[in-house]
Formats: sequence, structure tokens, C-alpha cells
Amino acid sequence: MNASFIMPNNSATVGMASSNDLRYNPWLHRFALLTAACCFLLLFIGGLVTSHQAGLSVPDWPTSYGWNMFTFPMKDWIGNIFYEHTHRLFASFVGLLILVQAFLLQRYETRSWVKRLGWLALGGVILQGILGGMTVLLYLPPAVSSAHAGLGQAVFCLSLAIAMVTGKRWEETSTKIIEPSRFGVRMLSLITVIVIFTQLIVGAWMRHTFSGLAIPTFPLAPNGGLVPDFTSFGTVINFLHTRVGAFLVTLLTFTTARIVFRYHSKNRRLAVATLLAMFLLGVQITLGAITIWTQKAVTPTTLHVSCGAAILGTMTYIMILSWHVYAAHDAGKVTTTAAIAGAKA
Amino acid sequence: MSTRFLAAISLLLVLCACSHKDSANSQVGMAIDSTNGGTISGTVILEGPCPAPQTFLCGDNVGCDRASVTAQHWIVNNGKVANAFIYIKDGLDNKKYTIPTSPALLDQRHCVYKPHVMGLILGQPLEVLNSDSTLHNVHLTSASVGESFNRIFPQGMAPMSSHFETPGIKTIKCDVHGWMNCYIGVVPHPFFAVSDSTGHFEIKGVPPGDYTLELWHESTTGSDNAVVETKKISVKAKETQRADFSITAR
Ligand SMILES: [Cu+2]
Repeated sequence: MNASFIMPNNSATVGMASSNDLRYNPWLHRFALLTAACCFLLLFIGGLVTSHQAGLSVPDWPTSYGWNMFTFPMKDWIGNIFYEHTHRLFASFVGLLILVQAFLLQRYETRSWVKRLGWLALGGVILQGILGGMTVLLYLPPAVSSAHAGLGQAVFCLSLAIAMVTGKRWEETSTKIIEPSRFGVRMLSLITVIVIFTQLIVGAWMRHTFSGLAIPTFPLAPNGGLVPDFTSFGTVINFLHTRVGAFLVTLLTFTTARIVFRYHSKNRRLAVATLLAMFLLGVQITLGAITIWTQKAVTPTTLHVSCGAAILGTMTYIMILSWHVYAAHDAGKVTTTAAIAGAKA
Repeated sequence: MSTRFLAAISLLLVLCACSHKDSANSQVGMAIDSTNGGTISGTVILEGPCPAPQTFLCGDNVGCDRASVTAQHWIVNNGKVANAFIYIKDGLDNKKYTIPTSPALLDQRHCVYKPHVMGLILGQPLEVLNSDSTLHNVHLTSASVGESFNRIFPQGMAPMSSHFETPGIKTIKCDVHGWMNCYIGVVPHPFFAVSDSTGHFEIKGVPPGDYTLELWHESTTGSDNAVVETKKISVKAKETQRADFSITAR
């Protein structure tokens, strides 16, 4: 629905709508989508490096066995070097994409805050590259490796946000808001994103301290109860991720979903994203259980990392969309019962 | 920051660097008394069933020149355990012994370390070789902060020299070939041995006295959590004392 159609008498809104039409640049949006997709793929490759314990198979950085990274001969991409080296190469490619994206936004984007998002993503990816190098040179300290995992997720979410706001449908916020609590879906999705992100950091910390099997059974602990004997730090962090975190994320996702379906079911994008989040959550818990049952087999473990990123991305999408719906609503751009009543009067 | 503070810091750094060098060069000490010393000899026995050996496929690692590698975690023949590191833990009263100037050799051959377990006297040079036509990384992990390293070792590179300044069990692994690992027991004296394929070990030239003897095996650390008890032993001149160890695998 077009904003000018809703509010034909509001000249300011009409002006905004026409600038929106000028604003939408299909190639810029497609480029942002490609960047976000590549960020996601990079998280998967990074997950493979850790699953194969390949992080130190190339001891030097930014060089590779003394070679320039881009000229390191393919015949030497042997064993675990294959994972580490392709991660470095693909990361360089993603860094290039984000750099180009920042310049494209600077040149073709009209909204200054979107330009700033582009530069922020560039800063994030540069810091991410440095963290990656640091963790190699410092022999993978859990804090640096976990920070590298967390920042990777954050840059992915930022790329996703850029892809969203450069989209053609960004201005189409036609939901009639009937939610009684004005902060319901917004606060819930925000809290859920924070909790999921924390859960990913705890998961990374568990992974990089080799505590993934500190509680070797699931769903029950080896003592047959729900709570294991906390004999080590690994057991504690494992419990926080595999039990406490998993429960909190499930609870929050379903609470968010309840509000979305109750009050925002007419917003198709919000509803579909919520369904996707719930579906991914089911897949994620299954993958997590399989990871434990197979004693961290590479495929389920790495898919579990990627699915976690997908859930974070989906919930970020829900969060941004719900805040946007309300922001647009507050700016008087969408039909509400009050607005219609006001127009009729 | 004041110049005086910077000067003080740099002076401190220089002093640290100098003292570091001094400790590395002190190689004078007592020689092993092979005529009057006693001998400690024994066998390492595995209590309970032998864990199944793990096999790794070398896959596309053509430079390894082999199809698969059997893990050296448990090398057990007729219940006798190889690759156990036995050493005198207590009783030598911090006497200083001569440190050999000839290096101990650690080879990377067919993507396996030779030997899998070795002992070194604190300060003794270690020389790492690469006999393979493929590259490895040499990733040393030590409990002592600053001693760990991770270095590249491409094929054809000159041997790599190193030495240790702290005692303890050091781990070397190759992260390219995930199965490649080995252990170096570093002790401040020459009274140690590694059990052979028949589980036998012998420590010679031990000065007469009372000692605590300890055994380390790959299974005593990490997830196996195997248990070995330390032994009190009395060594007499020119005599052989038996000290058999048993490892209880869990
Ligand atoms: Cu290797």
C-alpha cells in the first residue's frame, strides 16, 4: 500500500512517498542481500574451522605459511588447512563486499542513518578480521575466540538490517495496530534478540573451552536428574547453554509469537518470520541434541552453529520490523482506527 | 607518561632480557655416577581391558605417504603399556646435573611424531625435523605462560631448535593432521625413562637414596582419567630396584 494513498491530504507524507520511490535502488538492495547471505555462509565456514579444530593449522597471520594469503598454493590446502584457509579467503571476500557496500550506500543512499549503518558494518568487519588474526596468534584464548564468534554474528545482523532497510517494501507498513500494550512485541523481540545473542556467546564460550560434552547426556544429566553434578566450570557453562539458555530462548520466542499472532497476524511479513523463528528453534534444539548424542560430529555441530545464527537473524528481522511498524505508525503514515476516525470527522 | 617512567620500564625490560639469557646458558652441574649409582627397573601393566585403538584415515593428505594412522594413545602388548614416562619426582634435593649439549631429536615422519613420548632434561636442546614431503605446523602447549608456540614447518625447512625453561609435560601437536600429537616430559635431572613396546623401563646411575617415583601416561590426563599411584623407592649403590606400575583405565 502506498503512503500517499492512505493520507491523501497530508502533503508532507506525499513528499516523503515520492522521495521513497526515488530512494529505492534495486541494485543496492540486491547487493545488500548478497552481502548478508555471504555473511551467513561465512559464519558456517567459521563454524567448520572450530568443528574441525583447524583454527591453528595455519600458524601465521595475515600470511599463510609465509605466503601472501592470496598466492598460497592450492596443493598445500591439505588437511585442516583447507578449512582455515578458505575461511580466511572467504572472509576477505566478505570484507570486500562490505567495503563496496559502504561506498555504494554513501553514493546512492539518501538516508544518512543508512549510510552510517554501512560504515558501522565496515568497522565491524575490520575489527572482526583483526580479532580472527589475534586469536590465531594468541593460540585461541576462549575470550578472543568467543568475541570473534559473537562479533561475526553481530556483523551478520547488521548486514541483514541494511538489506531490510534498503528493500522496496521497507516503507510499506500498513498494519493496523490494535495491540493494547504499546511495548509488547517491540520489547519482547528486543529482549529475545539480546537473550539469543547471549545464548550464542555462552555457546561459543562452551565450544572454545571444549566443554560441549561436559554434560555428556541430553535431556537428562548422567545422574538421571535434570540438574547435573557441577564438578567443573565446563559443567556449569554447559548447563547454562544446553538447559537454561535453551529454555529461555524457547520461552521468549513462544511469548513473542503469541503476541505477534494475537495482535499482528495481519502483518504477513511479521507472521511469516515468527513462524520461521519457531520452526528454526525446533530444528535447533534437535541439532543441539544430535550434537551431544553424536559426541560433536562435525556436521550436526556446525549446522547447530549456523541454525543459531539463522534464529538470531530471524528474530532481529522481527525486532526491526516491529519497531519500524510502530515508528511509522507514530509518524502518522499508516491507517489506524484513530486516524480513520480523525479523517472522517 | 613521563620520560622517567618510560626509562624505568625500558631498564626493567633490559634487565629481564639479560637474566633470561643467563639462565639458558647455565649448563654446568654434576655428571651421572654410572659406577656407584643404582638402577630402577620395572614394567608398566594395564589393569582391565585394553581400549580399542582408534584409526584415522589420511584421505587427501598425499604427503603423508600412507592411507591411515593408528592412534598411539594406547600401545599395549600382552597387557604391557608402552609410552609411559617414569621419572623421579622427589628426593634429589635440587642437585644440578650436567645438561647434554647434543639435542634430543623429534621427527615428523609419515605424519606421525617419532617418538610419541620422550623425556628431556630441563635446558637440553630439542631439535624438531620434518622428514615428510608435506608441511606441518608445530604447536607446542606448555602449562608455563609464554613457553607455548605455534610455528610453520614446510617441507624442506631446516630443523627447528628449541629448549624448555620450565619442567612439566609439554604437548606438541599438528593442527593440519588432527591425529598428530606427542608428549615431552621435561624434568630438572637425568633420571627418567619411557617404557618400551614390552612395557619395560630402566633408569640407571641413580645416586643411592630414597625417592618418590611417578608415572605419566597419556591416559592419566584428559578424558580417560586413568589412575596411577606414585611409588616410594629406596635405591642402593650398584643394585637394581624393581618398581612395577599398573595403570587402571576407566
Ligand atoms: Cu602435520
